[in-house]
Amino acid sequence: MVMQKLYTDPLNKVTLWLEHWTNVVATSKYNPFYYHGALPQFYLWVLFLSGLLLFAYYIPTIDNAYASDRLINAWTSVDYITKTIPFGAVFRGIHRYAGDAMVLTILLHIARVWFTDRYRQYRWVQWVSGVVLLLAVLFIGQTGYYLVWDERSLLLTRMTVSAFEALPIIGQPLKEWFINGKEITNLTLSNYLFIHIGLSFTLLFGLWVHYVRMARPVITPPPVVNYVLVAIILGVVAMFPIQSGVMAQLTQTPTTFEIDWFYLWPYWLMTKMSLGFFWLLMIGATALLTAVPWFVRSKPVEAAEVVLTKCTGCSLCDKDCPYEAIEMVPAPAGSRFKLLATVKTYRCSGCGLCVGACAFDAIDLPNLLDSDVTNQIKVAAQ
Amino acid sequence: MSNRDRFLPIILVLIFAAGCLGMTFMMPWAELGLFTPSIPGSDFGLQLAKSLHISELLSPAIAFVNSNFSYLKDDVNAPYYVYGFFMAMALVSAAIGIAVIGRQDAEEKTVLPLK
Repeated sequence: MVMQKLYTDPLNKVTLWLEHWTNVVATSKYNPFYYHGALPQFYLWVLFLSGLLLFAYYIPTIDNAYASDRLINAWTSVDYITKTIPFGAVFRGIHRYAGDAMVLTILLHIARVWFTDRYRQYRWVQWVSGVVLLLAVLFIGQTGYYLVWDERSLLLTRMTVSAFEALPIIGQPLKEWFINGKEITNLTLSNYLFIHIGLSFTLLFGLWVHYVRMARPVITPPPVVNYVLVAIILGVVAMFPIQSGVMAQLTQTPTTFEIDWFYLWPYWLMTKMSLGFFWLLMIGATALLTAVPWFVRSKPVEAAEVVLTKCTGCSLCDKDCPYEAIEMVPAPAGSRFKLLATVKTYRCSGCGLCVGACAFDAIDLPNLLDSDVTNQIKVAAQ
Repeated sequence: MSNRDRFLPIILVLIFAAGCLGMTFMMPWAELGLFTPSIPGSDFGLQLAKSLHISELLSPAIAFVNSNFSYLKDDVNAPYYVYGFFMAMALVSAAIGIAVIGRQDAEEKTVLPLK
């Protein structure tokens, strides 16, 4: 509790202060802080659409055994998209910078969830699924850099192979899965494309798990916010046009690459430490991040309790509960009513919305009975 | 409600709507290469503007693009990047205009039930 107060209370205050002043300018209706989860979701749709257009022209091969004006491989297909397809360069830029924006908005989402203390107890499913989603997004983004098949792609592929080989037992199978064989071939790029697209669609399943414990998750920002999000990407594309590097040659050994700090920071780490220590750091950090909801002990939530003799099964509490913590079950035999409310205590946050929703005083918080609240009001009114 | 509270949002909306329309008008000219005439094959925009006698009207925008996007002067995709820039400006103008009108709905209102 002391650590919580030291870290989260001041940060929560800063977060609320920022949100207050954003409300003054944009009003609560358009405050992007209130859509912090929906922002990366929107950029995911932008990535899907821009990626679809790029996919239409992309060729996942590495063939460059001869120099030719009509050479067709991944690099030349990306070059064709960039220089020949109308707006191809713009869509390539949109795809690249929307990916960066998605990581940035995910980090802002994590920060706000952390600062407002909304990751513990009954919210652990959202946090843990969020960690899995973050790792998936980072890996998908890295595969995007492999697909261009320039010298950076070749260097990143070789560094990833070395990193996998450093793992005991699973290293060699992992490496052969990654490059789809024992050495880099056309099948390697097909595998990267499959991972890049297939894992992207798997994100949708992960997002379902991320949302399933919320009754009314806000997953779409209002159009005003969406216009600004797209405008930011278009502006960045115009200011920082994307250029490809030199085509990769398997006989060459590139040693440096331009780093994109959003996705390629693990490769920077690899250059600063041994691969064994790198894996220790990555796996350890992931485990720590996943275990965050259980780090800070807090008072157990006293879940709401249904007064069985008063419940009419009207379902108002179920509809109003934001955490899907109330389930309507068939009422016992002999009851006048068809349904009965039951509380899933592990999901209940003790917020009291169900108590307010119930018209029959049939649900109560054990530490805040209706009768106590009524007495307090009477005392205050006198 | 004072006159300022009544008319200021309407005036702001009109300003930003005009901005959105203006930027939208620039978009097809950008694609035709009007603002990036140094790119080969991009002179159609300038020829069309001259034939419509509006090249003088568009010269401030041409000067703005030349000074701020000079790094694109050899890029074959320059017309498309400038198109994207004007689209971004149109989206921002539209967003601000909608937000100005939407502010009124965003204010919290307390409705007391009649007995």
